[in-house]
Amino acid sequence: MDELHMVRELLPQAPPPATEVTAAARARLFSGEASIPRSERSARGHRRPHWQWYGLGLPLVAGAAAVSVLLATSGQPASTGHPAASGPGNSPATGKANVPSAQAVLLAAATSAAEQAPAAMGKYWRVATTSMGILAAGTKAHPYDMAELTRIDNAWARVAGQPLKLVSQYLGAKPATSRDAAAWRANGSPTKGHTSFYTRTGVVKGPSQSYAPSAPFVDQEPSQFGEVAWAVGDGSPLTTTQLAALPSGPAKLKAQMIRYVNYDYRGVGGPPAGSMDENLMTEAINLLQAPLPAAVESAVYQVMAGLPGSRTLGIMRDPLGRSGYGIAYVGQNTLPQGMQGQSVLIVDPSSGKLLATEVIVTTPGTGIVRDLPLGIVPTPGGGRVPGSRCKGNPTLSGCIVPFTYGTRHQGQVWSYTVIKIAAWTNTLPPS
Amino acid sequence: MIAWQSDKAEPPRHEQDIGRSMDAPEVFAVVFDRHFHEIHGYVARRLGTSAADDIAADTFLIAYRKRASYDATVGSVRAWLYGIATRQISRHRRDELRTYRAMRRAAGSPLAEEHAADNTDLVADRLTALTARRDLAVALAALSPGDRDVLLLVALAGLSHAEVAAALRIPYGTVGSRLSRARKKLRAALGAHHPAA
Repeated sequence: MDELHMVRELLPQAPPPATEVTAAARARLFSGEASIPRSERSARGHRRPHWQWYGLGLPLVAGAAAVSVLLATSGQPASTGHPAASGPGNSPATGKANVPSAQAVLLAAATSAAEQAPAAMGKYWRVATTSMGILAAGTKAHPYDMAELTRIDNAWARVAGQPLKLVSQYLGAKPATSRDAAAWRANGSPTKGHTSFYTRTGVVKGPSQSYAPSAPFVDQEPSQFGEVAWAVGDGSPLTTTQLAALPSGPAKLKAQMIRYVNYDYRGVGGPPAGSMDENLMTEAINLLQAPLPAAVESAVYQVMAGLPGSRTLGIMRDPLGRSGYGIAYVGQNTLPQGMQGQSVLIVDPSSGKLLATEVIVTTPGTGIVRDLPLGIVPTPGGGRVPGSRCKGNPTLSGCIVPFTYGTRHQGQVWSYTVIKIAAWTNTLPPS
Repeated sequence: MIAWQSDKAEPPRHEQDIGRSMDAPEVFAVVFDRHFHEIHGYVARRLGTSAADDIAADTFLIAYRKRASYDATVGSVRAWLYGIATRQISRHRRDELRTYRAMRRAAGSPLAEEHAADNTDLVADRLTALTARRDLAVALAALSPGDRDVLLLVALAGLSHAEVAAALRIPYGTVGSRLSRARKKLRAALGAHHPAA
């Protein structure tokens, strides 16, 4: 059995689509005929260059990670609508009346970004981030949260033939707060954690995961494209030249960003998951880590300022202790069953730099963290298995349901990504 | 226009016919009926059934709208459809990676169970197998999107190198290098769990 066979086993065949799904897709196909302009029918599809892409999504996978320091700096849950005021590391803004609106903060950032001196292009565009995610752990008697950290340090060569270097490293996990540390010690200060499983036979202790850091994973190869290939909304990378040619006016840039979000969906199926505003905010945060001319970077902030639903949280410190304004925004975040969170970004309006993004828990849920409800098969092809079937089939795929204990609380930082470096450089990142 | 490999097999006869006459809705209906379940199945394996319902439907809508741009000399209709589906999947990369993450958490090296009296060998065996699944899920998530697309088009869809090249519109040689790189990474990640080791 080779690895391709194992992949086929991991991603098993799915049942065929329901008859009505097929029928609806077929009907939708031909009912749309009349609405398709003739010109589009004969037009050759616009073809983008097919670069290999290195998106921002990837780093976040490598896994969730967390830092206890952060909890000292996290704000109040954004849903309260008040400036962050109670966290020990939080400097509340100087009185509510003086707190600038989210729009004002973003427009100030736009001004600062426009005024920055043009940075000399280096050999590489380097982006270094550290991400944290909460790993619920412990036992029923002693639940606690571990904060898992992962770092990413990527460099894309500007010139063809130069190396591309992608470094990622699991930095290990430690108790998220002093309270978590106490529960962790009460549990024997374990150096590894595990997920538990609901099975027919009861709760079974499952896979262990070391809390110790891993060696860095390094991928270094010659650049295939000769330029930075920065992924935008639909996954198509833009080169440095294309990024430099983005509109510097907010209206035109927004229109361009909408096209990225909607690419291939125009007139077809509507935008991807989430509202257009959410997608635009995600795209803006992505673009702020790309090698943009000052005028375009400024326009990105202006586009962000124009998106509805943002609220200022006042002055916050990012996970590295850097000071900026926290802005709660309407963003895409996915938390486990029963939990809800608020997306927050931290921006330094005086430098025009995006410092970090966070997800803060607003609805903590029960304290038992289940990625998937009982009966949902944790494989892409599986779909739903009725809970009743699981009772008689402990080994049926999907009937072993992972869960972890943990401590949920309002205001908890569930995850963050802090942008340490997003700049031109002449040296490759160390491994 | 990308230069395609000259060693690409001649498309089967019916593909050429479809390519020539696909403008007619009834001909495209044949394309739909022939390929919808297969494309749906591929997407479902990567993103789950409910996402596949939408993405497969979108794939055929896009294909229908762009049928004038289909070029039978480049590759088969099937490869062309896989290419469109793959592009749609790439828009859901976060969901795909989330699935791998859930799979990682759902698996691992078994320890003693919490309620010893109820444990069974079956469950222990199951959990052992899950360890390899976890490592595989982590490795799949760590692949670059381009490498993962090639790997899964070969492993799940059973496309040939030439078909993958046509589907993704990448040079033939790139398919081989991406596939071998992806397989190497999976083998390395599986390590001790790899059956061949």
